[in-house]
Amino acid sequence: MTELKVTNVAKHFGRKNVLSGINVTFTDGQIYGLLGRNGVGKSTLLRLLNNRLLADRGQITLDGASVVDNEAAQNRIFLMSAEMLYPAEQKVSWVFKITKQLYGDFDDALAAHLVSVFHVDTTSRLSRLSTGYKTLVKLIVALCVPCDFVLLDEPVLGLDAPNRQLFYQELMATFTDRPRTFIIATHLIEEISQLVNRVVVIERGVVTLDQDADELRQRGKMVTGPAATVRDWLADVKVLRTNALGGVLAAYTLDAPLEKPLPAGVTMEAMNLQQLFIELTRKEDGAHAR
Amino acid sequence: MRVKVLVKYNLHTLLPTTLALLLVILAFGWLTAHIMHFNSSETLTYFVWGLIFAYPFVLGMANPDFAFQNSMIRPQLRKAALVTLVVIATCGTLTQLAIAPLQSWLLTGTATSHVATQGSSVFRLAAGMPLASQVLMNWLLDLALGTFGYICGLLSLGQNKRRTALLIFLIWTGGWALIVLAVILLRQLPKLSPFLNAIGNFAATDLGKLILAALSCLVMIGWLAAIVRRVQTAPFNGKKGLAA
Repeated sequence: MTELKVTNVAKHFGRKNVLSGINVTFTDGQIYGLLGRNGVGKSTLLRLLNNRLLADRGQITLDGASVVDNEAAQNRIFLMSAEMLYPAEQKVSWVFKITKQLYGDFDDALAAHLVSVFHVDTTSRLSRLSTGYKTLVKLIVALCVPCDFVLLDEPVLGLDAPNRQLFYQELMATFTDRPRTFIIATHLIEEISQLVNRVVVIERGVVTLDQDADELRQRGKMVTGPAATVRDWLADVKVLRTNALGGVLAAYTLDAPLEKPLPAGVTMEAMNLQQLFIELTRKEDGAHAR
Repeated sequence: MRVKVLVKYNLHTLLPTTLALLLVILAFGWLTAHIMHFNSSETLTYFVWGLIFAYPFVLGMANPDFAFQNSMIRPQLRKAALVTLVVIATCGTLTQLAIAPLQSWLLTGTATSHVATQGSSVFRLAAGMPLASQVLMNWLLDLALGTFGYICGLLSLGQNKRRTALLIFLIWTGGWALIVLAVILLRQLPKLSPFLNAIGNFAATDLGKLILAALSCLVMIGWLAAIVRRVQTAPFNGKKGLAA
């Protein structure tokens, strides 16, 4: 099994510790959702994986070999940045051509298909494209490179809803045709919730959650009912947050005691990924994110 | 293969910047010739020096973003930057070879400034040398200054260090500009003219050339050593220096 393993990685910028000890393993054939609040270091982690930054300490390995200035390893990792790093004066077709030259291969057929689906004019200069179309060009490149690990940093920035929907469809289609690992860092959690099969949450510089997405959805519950009853039913488990209104209490938890019968007057609903993320990363006093 | 693509890309992207700078330098040359009344050889010398000064800036604008976007690694970037540097330095030398006859012709032209005819400017030292030495010296200068630019490029690897690179460039060129300005101003002072002329005359002798060349080499080596030391201890990508 191919593994991109991050062990105890730390990174600071000036006085700010962005990552303070990241441990996570990305395996092949998965779509990861890399989640975290603004500024927690999602982009920094992606840049470290792609060798654009060097870690202060710790190690990142691909199949046991360090990825730092390792040509063989980096040829297998592609990072689509949120910023446009291609020269603005160049044409879209040039970007495809040079990518093929640099990676030795490029899925021309898929690129042609995506160009047609998204109505991208390959003769246009990048400087003339709107923000959305620049993103589309970057996405086409990311989906067509022959890399095993494709890292997408805010992949749908500037895309309208129909194009975002189309992109998710095309991502799933190409993933089905050629399974590889996608790591998607985004704030549009609800939109990618149906795509990802594993969720990694970064908080305060460390990975606080790394779990199968389906399991997580099954675990995340909102329990509502009379305050005393709910507290009593959840007495032995960790509660992420509670929200009281009058005598009614809503409690959010990942560890609902499903083996115990639900008391009368208490209801339990599944939380979606976005609700889960909000509760897991809430910064208010009294929050019990883990 | 990847290095070759990046070198080609570097040269391609540096071309518009170089041409733009060329236009600025040409305009400066025209101004010095027609408003400041320098003679043609001085204008041309300043023009060539201006071009040389432009290299660090041009190379400082190397393309790490593009390279990293394509999963390139630092050794590949360094190699590509070095090859780019050698190509540019060689092109610079060839250009200077091509303009050397023009320079010789201009040296016999009419001088419009009385001080310019007296050979007091250190910048005319190169013009007084045999062509081979002149070419060699120019090439070495290109290489040395280009090396500086290459280091600037390295500084910007992956960390938005362009501000640092630009700062170093400004100090470098600003220092030189101050020296040039000082020489120009001093030459305007009649009292100092005999002194400067004496220096100029001494510099024109074989011993003078040798001493000046040795001093130039020392300054250049010292400067480069300082830069290399600075880069090695600089917070390049956080913690590690050039050796990373």
